Amino acid sequence: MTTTTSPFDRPLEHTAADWWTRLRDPSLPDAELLAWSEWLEADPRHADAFEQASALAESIAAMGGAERRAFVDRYVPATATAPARARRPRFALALAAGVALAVVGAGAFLALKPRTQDVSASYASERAGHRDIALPDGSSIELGGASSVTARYGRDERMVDLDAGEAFFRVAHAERPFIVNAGPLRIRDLGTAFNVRRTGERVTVTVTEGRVRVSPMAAQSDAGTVELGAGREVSFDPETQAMRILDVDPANAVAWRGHRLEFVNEPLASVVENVNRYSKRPVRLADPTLGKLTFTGTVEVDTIDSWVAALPRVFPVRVATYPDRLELARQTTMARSAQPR
Amino acid sequence: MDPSEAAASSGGNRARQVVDLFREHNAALVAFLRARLNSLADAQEVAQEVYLKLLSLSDETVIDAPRAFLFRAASNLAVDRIRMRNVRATAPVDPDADDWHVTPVPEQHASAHEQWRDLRVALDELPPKTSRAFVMHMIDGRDFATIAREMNLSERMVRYHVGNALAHCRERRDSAENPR
Repeated sequence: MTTTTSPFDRPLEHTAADWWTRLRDPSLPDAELLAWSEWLEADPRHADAFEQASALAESIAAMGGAERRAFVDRYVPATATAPARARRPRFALALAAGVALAVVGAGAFLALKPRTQDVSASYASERAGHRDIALPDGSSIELGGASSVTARYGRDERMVDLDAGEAFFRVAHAERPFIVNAGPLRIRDLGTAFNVRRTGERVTVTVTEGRVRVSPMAAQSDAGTVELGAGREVSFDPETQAMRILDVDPANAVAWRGHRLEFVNEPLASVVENVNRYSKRPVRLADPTLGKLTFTGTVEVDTIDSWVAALPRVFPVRVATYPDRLELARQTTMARSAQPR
Repeated sequence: MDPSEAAASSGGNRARQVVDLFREHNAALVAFLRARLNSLADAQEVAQEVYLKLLSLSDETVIDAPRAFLFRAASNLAVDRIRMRNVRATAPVDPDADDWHVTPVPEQHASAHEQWRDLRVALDELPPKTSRAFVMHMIDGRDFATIAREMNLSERMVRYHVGNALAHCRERRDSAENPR
């Protein structure tokens, strides 16, 4: 360890810290990188200051999970930069709830419930349908096509199960935590808005505002728990049992609310299953191995047929159209060579 | 190294060229990788990979700007390393997968509490935007573009805040270690 005996050289330290941050940018132009290396090699004091800055950064990055959370909570306020959707007055919310409450058991919400007793209500949307659900605590859920949730509000927590499909949650602040169970994942809200897409056991959680904590259902302790802020997404892949975290544009995750589905490196099987939540005619894979192909792109839910029709241009598939379904089959070598040269 | 000399080299000269390049710039290479990867151990490993990669280039490959070539190769391998890390760090089945990242060296551990308290004190002396950008990048691991979006600032400003906070924390750390 270097023992600095010379007085702290503030301008030099600032230059070093400034270079450090510039080097963090993966798109730093070569010329700047060369300028930095010349600065570094010009004077051992430069190299020493840079090393000190790097070492400090490295030690901070090595902070443990609990401390990390404490720092983030303290210095990163949960952003209330909601794309200000005009707040509807209470009675309108109640009305919306009234409309949504056509489903079994939901009426319980309207009753004055004893706080000790759990109430539960199920909601489902139709294929290609969207549905807004206003929950009694002021939280809201927007359901995508062919999706279903069950809300179970207890004394200590607000629990919602995403049984299938996709939902966007906007959570009202309250003491009772708001928890979403989505197959293999549990999402705990820390005051926020987020989207969850569940395709069987494949689950993707995207945070658009605030923070959430996501844990594997199987985990006993905090093992595997990740905490996500706005603009981050975690996907659970049932095959590898791994969670993958990405920085995303939050607008894309909720694109379905504007009738678009966005996918990044998603297995075709999962894409098709999601598309089918909107398609008039379901899309089927005649050959299950096709399901492993990965798709990245946008599907407009209003023009699913033309999306399917275009698939043979990117995948080795051909499309067969039946009255009740669209079928994707592996393109045979013969079919390929039969194409015009 | 003179570029024309590098271009003219042939035969077994490739190895000599690479060795010279490393002799001259190894410190800068490791410093660069350390900043990118935020880990000295990883930086040293990747520097080795860069070295091997350059040695394995055929003699026909003309390197006309050796230093830029060196950093570009390092930059690419650093990207691979980060990608590999993401896969490892997010696998929930193995709680120890994050070890390289979380486990502090022993003497740090003993003073971890104080260390973080001092960091908090230092950050509290800064404007909220500065400490926020710093924490988001250094502790929450967000890239500058994401922070810029969330804080509604340019990436340049985010970098400026992060750099300022880093220098400030350095100064506080320095005065704690070297009371004068």
